[in-house]
Amino acid sequence: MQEDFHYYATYCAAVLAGFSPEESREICYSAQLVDMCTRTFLSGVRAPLNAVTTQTAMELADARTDPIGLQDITRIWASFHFLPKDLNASVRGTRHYRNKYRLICGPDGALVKETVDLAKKGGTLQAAGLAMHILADTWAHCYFAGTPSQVINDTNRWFDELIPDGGGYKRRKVRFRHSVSAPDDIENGIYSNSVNHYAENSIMVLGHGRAGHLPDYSFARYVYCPAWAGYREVVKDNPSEYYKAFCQMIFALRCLRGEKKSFLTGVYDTVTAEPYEDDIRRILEKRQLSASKDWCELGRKLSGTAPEPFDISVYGDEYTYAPDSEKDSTRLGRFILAALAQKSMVTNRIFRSGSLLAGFSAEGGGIKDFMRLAAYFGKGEDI
Amino acid sequence: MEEKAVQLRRCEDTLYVSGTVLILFGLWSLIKITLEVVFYRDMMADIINSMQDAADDQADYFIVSLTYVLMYTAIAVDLLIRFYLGSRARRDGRGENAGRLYVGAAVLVCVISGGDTVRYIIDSFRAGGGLFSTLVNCFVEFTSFLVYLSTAAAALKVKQLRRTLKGEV
Repeated sequence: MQEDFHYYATYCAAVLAGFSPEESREICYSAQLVDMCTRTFLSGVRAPLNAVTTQTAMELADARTDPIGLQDITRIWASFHFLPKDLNASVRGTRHYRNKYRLICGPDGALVKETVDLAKKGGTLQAAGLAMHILADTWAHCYFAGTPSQVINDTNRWFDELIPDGGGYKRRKVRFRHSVSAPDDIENGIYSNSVNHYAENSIMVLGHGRAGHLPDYSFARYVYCPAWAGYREVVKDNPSEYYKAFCQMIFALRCLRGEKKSFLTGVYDTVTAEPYEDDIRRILEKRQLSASKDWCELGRKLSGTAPEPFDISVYGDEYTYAPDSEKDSTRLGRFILAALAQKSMVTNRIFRSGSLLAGFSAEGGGIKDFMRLAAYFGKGEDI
Repeated sequence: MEEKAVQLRRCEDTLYVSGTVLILFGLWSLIKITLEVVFYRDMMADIINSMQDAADDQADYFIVSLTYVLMYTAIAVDLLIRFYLGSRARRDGRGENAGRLYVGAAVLVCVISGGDTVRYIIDSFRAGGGLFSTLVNCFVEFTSFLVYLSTAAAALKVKQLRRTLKGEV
């Protein structure tokens, strides 16, 4: 998903869940920050680089794709953008293939519940925002894995967009091109995607690179054959799934606010969203590169005010110039702790499933960042 | 119907890949011949001269020359057939119109290639020479035959599946 959903739609969901406009701003800021918190940014504010939640194209170009490099990439992308749906999925193939297959992202998996529960344990608005980003991405990035893999993430020439036509849909072949600068031509179905290097662990087959930006457009409906599906077609209906994501975010936020006892997967708060369903669906269905303006207007309608345009530098100084003992209680500090906790949790679950794709995971004690988390969550508690 | 559609996509993909490999094999043959002509130019000239010397009269000289012309024509035809079959297979694999002729040609070439491969393997081992280079050459020839076989089989299967799916729809 992109800024329109992670920032503005999350703001709307937080308001509907009962948070005040100020709290909703904190939540949506953190949700969007997950897409901006690179090593470059963290080193600029002198924050721990382990808290990285994303990598820019330049950073990925420089990234190593040896086993250590791949583990680093997988830890970031699987933890924050492609949360695995089922780490116990069974599939025919080698153990290596099975481990990669198990990293395929999807909504309503066990790790989504653990993510929301972890945010509740953290108890901060920043943790809530981080969890909302991850939850939303499980819907958009469904069927892709957060590890470089040709055999999982590749696509082929069978890629058709479903364009509304009367009461039904007509198929239109998607044309992919490799252009970093040219915007996607959504009217003519021409989209940019990553170049195929035909190497299993190439950065080009990380996540949904081979499908371009299509999974992140709320209006997109398409049919394609993922590499893992054995030439079977898979249908992705983003308007419908994004609506579910929005309703699930409302439910999750109500749980985080304490209004609901515990978060359960498969539960979507359509009742709260219903008065605004027409507005939301209209925004989701509209063919446009960015729906930020529309979501912002809806946010203003819901709360009387709208969040300011996202600015990554807003809280940087607060963190950089805070004394060491007070850094963790700044806004960015709380976000960093939440990110470290999330990454530790997901890495641990992947490791426990028998896969080394995200590297080793310490069950208790040892590394500096873990000790910080142990102090944050309470000594002796399992993360 | 979904199962047949899956099978069709799989066969079209096989056809596309086989066609690409056919073209690559053709390019490899072209490179090989070019290298042989360039690096063994003196040796070739000696062979031609000795054969011309051995030719007693104009008729024999004519036959020697004709042999060379036919030999290089055969090589060119072989390359053209590979490129033709390869490009048509790729088109068919992409779902574009590839014509009907290439399917029959693919089957015919596959049969000829099969016999030729067996003959080549037998002759290579009979002729002796280095075991490693003999094995490698035989492996390449056998692989070439497998590519022809794969192309022909996939082309036939794709035709059959398309007919079936058209009938079901």
